[in-house]
Parts: sequence; C-alpha cells; structure tokens
Amino acid sequence: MLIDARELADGTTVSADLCIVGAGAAGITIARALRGTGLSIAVIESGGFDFEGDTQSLYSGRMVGIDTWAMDVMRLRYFGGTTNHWAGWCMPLLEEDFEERDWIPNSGWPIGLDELRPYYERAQRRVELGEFIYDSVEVANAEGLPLVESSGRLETQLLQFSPPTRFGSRYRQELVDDPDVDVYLYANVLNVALESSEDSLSHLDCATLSGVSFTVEADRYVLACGGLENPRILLASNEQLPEGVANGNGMVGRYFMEHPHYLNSAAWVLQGEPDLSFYRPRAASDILNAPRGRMMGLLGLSRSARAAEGLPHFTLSIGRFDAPEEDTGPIEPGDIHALVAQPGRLTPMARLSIRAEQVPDPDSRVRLGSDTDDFGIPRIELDWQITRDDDFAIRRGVELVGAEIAAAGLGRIWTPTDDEGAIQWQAAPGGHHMGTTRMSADPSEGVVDANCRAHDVDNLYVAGSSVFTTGGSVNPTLTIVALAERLADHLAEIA
Amino acid sequence: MSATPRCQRRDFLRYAAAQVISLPLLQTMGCGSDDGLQATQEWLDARPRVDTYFADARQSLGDDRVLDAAERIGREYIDVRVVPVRQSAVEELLTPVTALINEAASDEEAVAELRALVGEDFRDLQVVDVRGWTLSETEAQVAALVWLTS
Repeated sequence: MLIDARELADGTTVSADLCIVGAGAAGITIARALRGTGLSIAVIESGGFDFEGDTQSLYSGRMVGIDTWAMDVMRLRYFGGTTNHWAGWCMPLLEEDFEERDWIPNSGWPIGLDELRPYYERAQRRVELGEFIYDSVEVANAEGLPLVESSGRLETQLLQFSPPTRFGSRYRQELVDDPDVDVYLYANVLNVALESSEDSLSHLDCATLSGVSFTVEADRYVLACGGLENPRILLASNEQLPEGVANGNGMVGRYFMEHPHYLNSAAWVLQGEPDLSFYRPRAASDILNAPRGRMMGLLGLSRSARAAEGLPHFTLSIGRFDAPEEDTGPIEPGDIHALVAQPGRLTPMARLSIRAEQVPDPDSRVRLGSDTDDFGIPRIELDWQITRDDDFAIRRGVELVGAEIAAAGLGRIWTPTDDEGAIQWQAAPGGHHMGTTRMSADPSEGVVDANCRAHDVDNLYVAGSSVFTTGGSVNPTLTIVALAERLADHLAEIA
Repeated sequence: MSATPRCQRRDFLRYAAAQVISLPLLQTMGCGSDDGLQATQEWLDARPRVDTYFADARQSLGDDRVLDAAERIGREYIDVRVVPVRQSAVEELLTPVTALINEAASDEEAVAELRALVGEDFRDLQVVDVRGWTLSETEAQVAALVWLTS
C-alpha cells in the first residue's frame, strides 16, 4: 500500500513488525525480499516518486575535509534513492577485501566472501544482470580476447554494467501492490527513540515538511539511508544519550571512506599495438546471460603483488586515446602535453583512471554541524580525509603496473608524482559513502555486528554501505544489495 | 643491421634510443639541454667505445629529438640517483652499463644484453621514477650515457 504521510492525521502512530527507513537500493531490496513472510513492513521514505527540491535540500551539508561533490547533489532523496542516477557499475568485493590484512590498518570484516556469495548471486538479478561470473580469464577466453599479462603481478578484473536498474521505478509497483508492505512517502525520521533501558528502540519520531508529526513503532528497525544519513540520524538522536544512538564506543560517523578517483591521471604510452579490446566497454559476453548488460576489464595488481608491497586495492580503467590538451592536467609541457598538442608527434597513448581503496581512518568522519535543516536537525559536516600513506601507495601501485606493462613490451606508464613520490592529482569522489557504521566482531571497533545489528541496540539494524568495514576499490551497489538480501534472510529467520 | 662498423654504431644508437629506452617514451619527452658534468664526461672520454657510439650516432641522426629526449631522461636520472652529484658516484652508477657495452663482443651482443637487462629490471622491479615515468634502471643509465656524451 502507498501512503502519503502528509495526509496522515497529526499524532498518528504507525505500527509494523518491521520498519525500514529509506527506500534506496538497500531498503527496497529488504522490503522485496521479505514479501510473503507474513511480516508487516513499513517503509519510511523522505521523498516522493520524483525529485523535489525542498526534500532534496534536507541533504545539504558542509565539507571540511577534501572537497567533494555537494552532498545534496551526489545522492538523491526520493523513492529509489541514489539508484535514480547511478551509473550501474557492478563488481563484487574480492575475498581479500573481507580479510584482515596486516598492511591495511583496521581491515577485516567479521564475514567472508563465501558467506556473501549466494547473496551476490541474488543481487546480480536485482540489478538485472545475468550470471555471477567475474572471472576475467573465463570471460576473455569465451570472447577470444587477450588479457594484458606479464609475470603474474598484473590482474584483470571484470566489471559488469547494470542497465542501470532504477530501483524506484523498477520495483515500486511490487511494493505498492503487496498487502503486507506500506510505503510512506514524504516521511522523515527526526529522532530514534530508545526504551528506558537504552538497549532497544522504542519508536521513531517522524514528520513531513508540511507539518504532520507521527510515530512509528515496530519490533525491529532497519536504517537504510546511505553512508551519510545513517550516521546523521544516529548522532542527531541525542535526547536520551548525548553521544547519540548505537554510539557507545564513539564509532558512529568515523571511518568514512570513499573510492578516491584519479580520473585520466596516469598515461600509458603504447608500444607494440596491444589488443586492449577486453578493456573497452562493450556488450556483455553471451556466457553472462545479461542481454541488457555491458562489461569491461580493469587492470590491477594481483593479491600477492599488493601484499608484498603493502598496497591497498585499486583498479585502472583504460580510457581515451586522444586526450585533449585541457585534460592533461598537471602533466608538464614536454611530456604528454607535447604529444596531444602537436598532432605530428602523436604517439599512441591511453589515459588511465585510477579508482582506489582508502585505508580506514577514524579521523575521516561524519559529524553533526552547527547548521540545521528545516526540521531543526543538524546538518552534516563531512571531514573526508585521505592519508599521505594512501597517496604513496597509489603511486607505487601504478608504478608496479607500469613495470609489468613495460616488461611485457607494451610501453611505458606515466604517473603524476610529487617531489616526495606520492601521486599528485586531485582525488575525485565516486559518490560512494562507506564505513560510517562499520561492521565489526568487537563492539569497541564498530557499530554493527556480522548480522548488521547495532552492537548497542538489540532491535536496530543498519543496511547499506555505511556498514562496510573496508571498501575495496569497486563500486558498492552490488555489495549493498547483497548485504541487504542477507539481512532480509536474517530478519525472516528471527521473526 | 649493417655489417660495417660505422653503420653498426649508428644502428646501435638508434637501437638503444628506440628500443632499449623505448621510442614511444622518447617521443613523449620534450627537447631539453643542460650543462653537462664535465668531469664525468672526461671520465667517459677515457672509454672510447662508449663515447664513439654516441658521438657518431648523434651526428648521424638528422632528427635530434630522440637523442634530446634521451639526454633529458639521462640528466634527470642522474639528478634522482646521485645526490649530490659527484663524479665518483656517477661513475659507480654507470660502470655496469659501460662495462657491458665495452666488453661486448659485438654491437649486436651489446644491444641484446641491454635489452635483456631492461626486461629483467622491470620483472625484478629495478625501476626508477623519472619525472613520473616508470623506467628501468638500465634504460635510464643508457640515457644517462647519452646525456653525458652529448
């Protein structure tokens, strides 16, 4: 059923077995997955079915660290959430991404890839892709295309593109038609209220911008509002506990991670006319059984190579061969600039874009700012930090890729480098907000446990990329959906 | 390659610049000139085979762009590897490459050995960052010889 919260009587109390806050990829996935279980579900969505400026402006905030896209631009606050403008890039995290790596401080999820794999297979269908095949060798062989290979340090990863699936429009009707699911539009959570025991939630205080106030009471709650809004809601719910909800160890909002993007930064001067077709975006291979899907290969280093050097995960996409002069950034005249500026000297060259994992850093964080939104809720102050070690690591990683390419006789790699040997290029964000309610086995090291349940609050769950312990280097949506499917199974089991 | 010694020397330089160092790389590097290391050049002058290779070949190339780029790489490589620049340190750095060239039975053998060393460098991660380029130590040393004999 669909309910416009603006039409509720002021003071209404909504009751359900399960309340899901947020109708983005995670929230919609959980609601869909629990249909038919007998659970009554209330989905609380701030927006309507389309973009509306006054609702969207609730997402505004201030950046005090690395400047990134404005927070009311990079994400969308209406039914379907940020899938309303995502690009569809899909790849699962790798096995090592879940493991504790000695060289990545604060790494190590309490779950492994094996546990998530069946849910990745489901997620694959939710984003309208086919087989869960991400083995680049298998796909390259099927396509009859070569991979860039050398001594074993290089690794090609396969990226699949969802059409992309707009979760709002794609799954709206299924939820609206379901008798056990009530979707409340224009409904904003202002406060998460605890029982007097402070170890479980009592209810949610909600309101519409039009002035209707109401309450939601449920047996269990899932916060699924994204990597910035999840911590904001928890931190801002500080009437009973000054540190906010689920924040007994001060971890809510910390460890904010992005995927630093160094777009068109490195350059590959080609030698020997290598066949790079596998690394171009193109229709998905037949073996993927995804008629609407596309795919492309990404270059990176093998696990052993990264472990040997203590490097984070990163990938390189092979881009334009004819970068215009204005795109050459800080490459000094006389280097690549001269190539593109003087056609007579043009040498085959590809631009490389780097997308990297960043080391989880407690000082990279979301805080409450001093400004407030139309409800009087403090807006976000985002302090995104990348450590200097990350900058060195990325430079070194690309250098290793360059050595492998050169060893294979395929040319040379150029990377923007500062005087100390770190990468020198403006890191752009991917709009991937991760880590702010991180998953941990030890309550002192995170906000939620392996089942995405808050360590401090027994009937509160968190969904979405805010629970990522580490982010890998790949786009998070497929993992968000896989984790949501897994959480739905858990909620069904304990109901 | 030509059978005549002079042509071999010319071919050697072209080969060194275009294959050992990587022609596409050289083509991306702008022209440059700088003061040489006089003392080191004198040291190299005492090694006639190396000096002759580069001097003869330099004159033989109508387009100096490739050699200019090699010189630039070589100059900056020395700046990276020898701080502060001292003759003895430069000698020590370049001795293996000069010895290889001088002791090779033929130009072809020298080129083949240099190319093999470049490949080994990349596989063994014996690499150096020169203005953001990831280069093999050997190819950068060849470039340094080009610069020092210019």
